Amino acid sequence: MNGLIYAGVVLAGAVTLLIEAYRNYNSSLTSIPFKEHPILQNVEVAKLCTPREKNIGFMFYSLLYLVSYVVILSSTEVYELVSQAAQANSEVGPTDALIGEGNDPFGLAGTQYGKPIFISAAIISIFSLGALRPVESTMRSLAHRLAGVPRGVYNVIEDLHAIPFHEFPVECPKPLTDMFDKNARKVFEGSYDESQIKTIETSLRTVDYLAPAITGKLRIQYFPFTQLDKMSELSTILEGKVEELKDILKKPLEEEETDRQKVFHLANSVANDTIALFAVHFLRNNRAIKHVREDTAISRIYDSIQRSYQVELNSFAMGMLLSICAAVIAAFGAYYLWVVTVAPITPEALQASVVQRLETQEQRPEMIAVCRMTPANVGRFDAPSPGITDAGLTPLEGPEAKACEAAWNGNLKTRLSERRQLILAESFWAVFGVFLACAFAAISAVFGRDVRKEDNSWPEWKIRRIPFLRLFSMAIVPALLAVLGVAIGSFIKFWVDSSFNVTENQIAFFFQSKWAFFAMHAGLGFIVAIAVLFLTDQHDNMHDATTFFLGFVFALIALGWYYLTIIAGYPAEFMRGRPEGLPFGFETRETIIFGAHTFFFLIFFSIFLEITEDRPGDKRSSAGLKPPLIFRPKKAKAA
Amino acid sequence: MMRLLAILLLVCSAGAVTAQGTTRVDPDREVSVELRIGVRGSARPFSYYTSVLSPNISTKSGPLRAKGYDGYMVYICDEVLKQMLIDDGRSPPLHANQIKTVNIDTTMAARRALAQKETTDTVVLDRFDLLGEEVDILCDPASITRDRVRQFAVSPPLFMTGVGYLSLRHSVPPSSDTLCRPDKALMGFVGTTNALTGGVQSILDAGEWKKYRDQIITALRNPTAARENCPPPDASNKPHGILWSANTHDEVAEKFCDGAIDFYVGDIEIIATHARENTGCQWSSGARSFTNDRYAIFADIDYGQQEKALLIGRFFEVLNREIATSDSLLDRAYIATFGAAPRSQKLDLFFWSMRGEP
Repeated sequence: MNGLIYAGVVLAGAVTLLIEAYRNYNSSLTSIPFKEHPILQNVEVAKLCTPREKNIGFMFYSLLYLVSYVVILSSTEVYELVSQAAQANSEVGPTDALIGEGNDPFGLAGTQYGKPIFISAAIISIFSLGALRPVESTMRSLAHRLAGVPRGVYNVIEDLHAIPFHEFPVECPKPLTDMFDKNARKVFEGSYDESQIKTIETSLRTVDYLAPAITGKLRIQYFPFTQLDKMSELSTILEGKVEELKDILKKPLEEEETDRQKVFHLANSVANDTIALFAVHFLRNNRAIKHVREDTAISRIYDSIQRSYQVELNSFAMGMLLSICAAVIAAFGAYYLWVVTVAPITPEALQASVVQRLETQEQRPEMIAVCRMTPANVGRFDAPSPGITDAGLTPLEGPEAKACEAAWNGNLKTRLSERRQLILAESFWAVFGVFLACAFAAISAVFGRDVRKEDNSWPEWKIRRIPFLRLFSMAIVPALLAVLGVAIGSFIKFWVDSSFNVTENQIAFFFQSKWAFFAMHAGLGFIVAIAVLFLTDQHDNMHDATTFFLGFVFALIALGWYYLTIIAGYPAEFMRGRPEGLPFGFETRETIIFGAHTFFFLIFFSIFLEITEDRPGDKRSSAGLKPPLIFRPKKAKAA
Repeated sequence: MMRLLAILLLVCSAGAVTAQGTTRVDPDREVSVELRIGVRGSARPFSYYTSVLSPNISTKSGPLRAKGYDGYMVYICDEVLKQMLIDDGRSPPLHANQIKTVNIDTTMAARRALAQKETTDTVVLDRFDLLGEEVDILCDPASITRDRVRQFAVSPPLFMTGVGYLSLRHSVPPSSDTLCRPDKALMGFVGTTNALTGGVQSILDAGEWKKYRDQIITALRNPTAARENCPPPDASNKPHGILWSANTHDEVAEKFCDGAIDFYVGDIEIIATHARENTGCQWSSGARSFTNDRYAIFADIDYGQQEKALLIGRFFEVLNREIATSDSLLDRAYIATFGAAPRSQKLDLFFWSMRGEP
């Protein structure tokens, strides 16, 4: 196979994918994402984006396509290599390339040339299947998020609906509500539409507090970042509708049923439009409202919608950071105890190097002879050597004593620091692969849930009626990504260890010996994804302690799975017995080293979910519990 | 190659002339010439001693297999010798008692022991030294090299193999700064360092063992200095250091499977067969081999001993005839040795080029 031609074919496959990505991305830009809201009907995504965002969005989107392409293509290459190695094991005769095989440009019919194109076509067709639409939309949503394309409107709308506008202090101007009180309330009171008063009041307050921020001149003041023609146009439409409502309420309402109904319907629809348009403005301006004065209606609204923002993402980030540190420490501890027990630094082990050091310094033979004894003033050894008892620690005297002690101490210090470095590096690398697996699984679960929420296809559920099927189907992609993550992490370590130069044989050996260990991580990714989804969805309905407890339970399950991974994924030759004097055996050691990260992550994740979140009306407020001391936003007290 | 074929042709035709042009040979006359065939005791799967009771040995077997030797190369020699035993009335006759089987490994071991008495250094002997002295035809996996072809008569290539290496499936390669280990060697092989150099060089050229490259090259260039830098821990020949060799593949394979050797280097079929014989040894040969070596039968023709020269010439004549067409001796030897194991693409092409379509 000709390398140059193959590279060309790979490139062609990538270009095909880019074309498909471009087509797909463009079609997503012309879609109308918020069609449930009358005012946002006919508003395409493209009209809410700047050209820069569109381009960056496409860049990220196509990058994700290319990443999938690279991952799948290299997986097939690895598979081919491993199967070739397996075949070579059973074949008789030389298994290197045939003469001319590498340079033959005419063998284009060879199946290898078609592989990249086949994979590229497979990706295109798979992503266009309805069943895998969620994967594609997750990718697109990720690209939008990375590029800053407005998304998450439904979350903001949901948050806005939850704001108790009627609790706002009386000082906040509310012209429409006041007009209603003055000109229409009496008409409703006493009529059989009296029960509508509350709804109308809430709707009018919503318009009173939100509309000034998105209509008229104040709009530029509050939302100055992005000014798009479409948004001005929508503001004008809303302004017209508010004026229409105002015109009705300006004068005393007739005691006609049709008039009452008109007020009711108009108030509701204007309120909904205001919320929808406010949400778009808010997102379009990097989830920020500028020039907000303290204790105004708009500042309260800002606080309310900021509170629940990205709780799970923040918890993910903090959980990952802290769990890496905790896992490296745990792995270091386990390794260290093992090494100290199995290969302790004893006086005997050090003697040879001390003598060698003195010989290099060309010391006198009599001095070297004296130094063969272990001087009493040497730092602590891991264990006394069986050959040297306490009596062997000789109190040296004379001029040689200091030089001897310095040689012993110097060597001991070097040996100890070398050992620490080595163990630390090993601990870090062990955690690194698992970190990638866990991070890939958790983040894909978080994003997947986010996208499903945005699509309105992730309804709330109760703990007594767990939607197993939904959770399981959502955990499949994270499970696969966990395998990918641990394979990438381990391969990077392997690559670094071999001085960034690995051969085909080495790659084949690597995957042949580790495939079972990697495959077992699918289970881990599955557990992590289920845990993340479970905790994120349910932490609002549970007490803090229950969330922490559930996090701990999931962490224990993950640890248990790791124990299985070690038993099933490790070859028998790797297993070792428990050294004497150590409280844990080899399997436990490996479980601690590799499982610690996931264990700590799930615990920290559950803790941060609770302490970084403060949603009005949640169980803390309703149960009258004290709000948490850490991470609580200052302004939230007012709500 | 052309020159060699010309010589062979000459030898063959000389044999034919002798047989046809001179008086017919009397089959009952006393035989004085002995044809000494060199075989190996443990070069599986090409030339090795099994047992006279081995199921492979049957009444169809020729003189070599009847004595308990077997293997791909032995099978070929055996079949040729069997043909030679048939008196067609025109060829120089050969009787079974004229064929003497010489176990090269035993002979070499005896010679080595003798030489070792006179020196403290490790004695390195080449089995080709025996060719002409104690052996006339060498039936073992001997690669065709320029030097050997210059000194001896050679058959057409009979098998194609390559140098490769095995590593234990779950072993972790050592770090490059701890290669001098008292109980473990980086590389184990059989024979001399010189014979190994080419193969190892090809492996290094392919980018393998990058992190040990400098140390391996230093050790190959100057084995004595390498031994001094990393002396054996005791008098026993335990695997240690970078290069470690033993006299037989059995020994190296055993140490390899015990985990005392990281890489077992050699001709891929030989090392794989030996590793396979250690039950429970899980190894992998990687995705590819690194060189292309062809095995042939070598002989020493002394034209001073005309009768023996004629027999050797006749041996090559029969051999050429048996391998050059379909139903080739090569195929039969392959099936007898490797059974249904698939041939690599390259070996398949080699067979095809030797005998055409099967």
